[in-house]
Amino acid sequence: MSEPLLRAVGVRKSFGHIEVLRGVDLEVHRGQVVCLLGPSGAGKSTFLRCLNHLETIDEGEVWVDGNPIGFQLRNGKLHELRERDVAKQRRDIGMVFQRFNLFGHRTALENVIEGPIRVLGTAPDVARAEGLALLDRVGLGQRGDAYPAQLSGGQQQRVAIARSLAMKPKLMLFDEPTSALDPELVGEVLAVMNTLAADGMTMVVVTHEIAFAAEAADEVVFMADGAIVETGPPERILKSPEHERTRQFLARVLA
Amino acid sequence: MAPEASRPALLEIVRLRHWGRWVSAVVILALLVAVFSALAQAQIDWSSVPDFVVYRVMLVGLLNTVLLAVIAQTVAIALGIVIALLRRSANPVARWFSSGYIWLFRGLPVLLQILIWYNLALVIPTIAIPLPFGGYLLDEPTNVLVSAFTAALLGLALNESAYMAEIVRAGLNSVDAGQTEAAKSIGMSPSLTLRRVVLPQAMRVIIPPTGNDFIDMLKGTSIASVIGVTELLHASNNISSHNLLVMETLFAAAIWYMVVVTIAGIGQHYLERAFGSSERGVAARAAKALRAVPLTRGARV
Amino acid sequence: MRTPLPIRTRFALLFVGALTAGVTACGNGVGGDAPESSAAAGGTAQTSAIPDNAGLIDAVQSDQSLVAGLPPAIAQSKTIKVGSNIQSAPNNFYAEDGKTPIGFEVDLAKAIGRKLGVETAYQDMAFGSLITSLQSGRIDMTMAGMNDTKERQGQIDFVDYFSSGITIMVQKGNPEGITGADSLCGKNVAVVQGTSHQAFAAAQSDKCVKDGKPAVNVTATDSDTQNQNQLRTGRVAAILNDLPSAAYISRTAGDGKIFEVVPGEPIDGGPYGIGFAKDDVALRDSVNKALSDLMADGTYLKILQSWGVEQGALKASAINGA
Repeated sequence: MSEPLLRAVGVRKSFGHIEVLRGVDLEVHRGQVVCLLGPSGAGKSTFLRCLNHLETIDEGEVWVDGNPIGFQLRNGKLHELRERDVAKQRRDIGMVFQRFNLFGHRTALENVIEGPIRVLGTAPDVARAEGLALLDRVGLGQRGDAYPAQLSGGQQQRVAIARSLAMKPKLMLFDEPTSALDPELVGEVLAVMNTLAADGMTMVVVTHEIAFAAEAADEVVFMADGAIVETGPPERILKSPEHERTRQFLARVLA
Repeated sequence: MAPEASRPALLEIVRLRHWGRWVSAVVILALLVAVFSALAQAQIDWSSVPDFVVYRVMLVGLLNTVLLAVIAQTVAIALGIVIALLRRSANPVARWFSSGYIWLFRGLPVLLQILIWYNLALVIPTIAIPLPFGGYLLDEPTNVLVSAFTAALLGLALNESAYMAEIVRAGLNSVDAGQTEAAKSIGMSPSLTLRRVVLPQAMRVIIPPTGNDFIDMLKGTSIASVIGVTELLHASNNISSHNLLVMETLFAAAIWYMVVVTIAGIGQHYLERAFGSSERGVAARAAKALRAVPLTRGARV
Repeated sequence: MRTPLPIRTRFALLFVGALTAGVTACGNGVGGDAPESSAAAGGTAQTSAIPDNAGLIDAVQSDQSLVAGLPPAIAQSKTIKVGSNIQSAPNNFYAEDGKTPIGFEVDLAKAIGRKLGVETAYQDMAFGSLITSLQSGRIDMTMAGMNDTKERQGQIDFVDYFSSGITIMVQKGNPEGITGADSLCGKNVAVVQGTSHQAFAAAQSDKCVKDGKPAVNVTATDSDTQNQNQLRTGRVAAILNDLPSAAYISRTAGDGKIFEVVPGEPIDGGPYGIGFAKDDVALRDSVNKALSDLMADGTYLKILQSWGVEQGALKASAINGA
């Protein structure tokens, strides 16, 4: 088996005196889709945000494609990086947020090409062409000139996905991408995510959409109280979980 | 059974008569008429006012007023951004410095600040900047470098910069943390994030009070007359020192103040429109409602 | 159902009606009271009151021995920076153009400059800023109708050039019946900030209170012109002024119909002094000598006479004569 694209080892994180992550390990291979499920307060979002160093970890390591995120390996030690350099590492890791976080003062297309032009230094006309293609891919090729305020939630989230894709990331993180959407808009976003998965993107998704996990995930991870309770393929975890905690959670959610 | 024939006739509606509005309107207009007729009959030679408006020295005063205000406000905005960023710095010394800066320059009266700069030579007689390999980059008596105009500029600009720092800080704070997170997630460095994502959106909150402050600044330049800068107020004093027509010359200056303030107000309107263009439309209101969804920062799940 | 006129139209009609009423009222006001105020009349009266001493001043020749005694900075720049509060006629005020300083002190300063072979460059500022500007070196000398007093001598040196006293100026006809300093008790009085008049008014107020009378209500403003305005409108009953200003203003304002000077000896008489920084002995002595020479050859008296303020002329100049 080849090296995993993402490797998290012994991740611990506390906010003040509250320990939110109690030593989490995760391995994700290229092209895999991993769904993180669990009750509120389990630490799923926090863990996700530790993967791209939006949150700093107290103990443990996160490796993406052989790079320690947030650090530089020198002489056998991990040296903390300054924000400027962490930013460079984040180019390879895309993130989609629960509240979309589109740049409100820019149009949809401008949102998508901001990263390529300003961060990657892509030529503007090349970036535009690629951006329009991406918007097309998420089904919004005609809405490039709309401002986020003029788009529905589902449309905004799809633009957000296109914006992340524009950076050509190796890994995409989804933090409850459909939790803030009206039910009828959830489907269009999940459809895009399904396409992405089918196209071979490596994805880690925190979600409550069990159906999506059942359909698209290669692996389901159930977390509770800051630790992984059990992991496995969706057919097993969702249909016949081993732990009582998992069973309780699923019973409530699938009821 | 024909449905329409059986419907009863609708009742007549008697609209509410807002008598209060009429009464207050009449009272206000009566007051205005009283004020205007009192002014008209005052011991003021209105016919001479238009002449003073175009006196050469009055126009010089107008130019200096506008120059002082524009330069001071511009410097204040630039400094204010720096101080505001220091205020948000992770470095405690930077934070202490900027808090102290704001406390000092916001606290001291503007006139006092101007007088301190004007009389700087009492403290530092000569401003000399030596070069490392001998000789001087600058070696001039302070009084030569700091003219009355410069002293007024320094006093006004530094005082205003403290207020601008607070305005900018409020503006920066008004931008949702999610914007910064999104920028980070596409690999933008902190300075790029500030320049391209945070500051432009902060402008919406920054511009209205800044425009307000600028209008205050236009009038506030009149304090420079104390150290002899020939701005509008001083110019009108010059004229009335000769003809003793104090009120008439002041009214002439007032006309110019109203003109520049009105122009500034119009400019502010267009500036606000330019920075708010992404907020237009019905969907804007809907999006605003979405933003009200109560979620903690990086909802901890 | 009849639709009533929309609100907007109704307000518009009311507004137009009120405006028409207002304009008619205005029409009566303006034409009627065209004040034979200072403007037209005052203008002509004043132009005749402003002498042209250019010829007199140009006739003054520079004295080489004095030129040699000038401090090096001034000898080099050939300019004396004069600080003044250019708001009090007839001492220092502006010509019609609003930027050329004129007045009997300006003429004297120019004449002194000619004697010393230098130009004078004026810097206008608030009266209270003059001494600090001397100390900071921004100006070389002050000439602003400043009284030479023992207190001020603690900070700067004076070359006395004129004798003045405090006079009381009231509205024409003296409606409040002011006869002297003691009749100021309980009245509103205006003075210029930082002047010896302010100190005198405060002292007089204390005297009133000691005599069992109400205190003097003193208002201090930035300039004499503001005080005149307050007197004109009746906000104050009297303003304290130096003799020359009082004489000039009551002669010229409104063709002499607005103000008058309370007759009597000028109060607390004392000399006006040209101010110098304490360590600027060379300039002080040069100016003193130059002034002396101008007094000797009659130029000094001629300048004062041209402005009608000759009753303040000194027999001789003096250093710190107060």
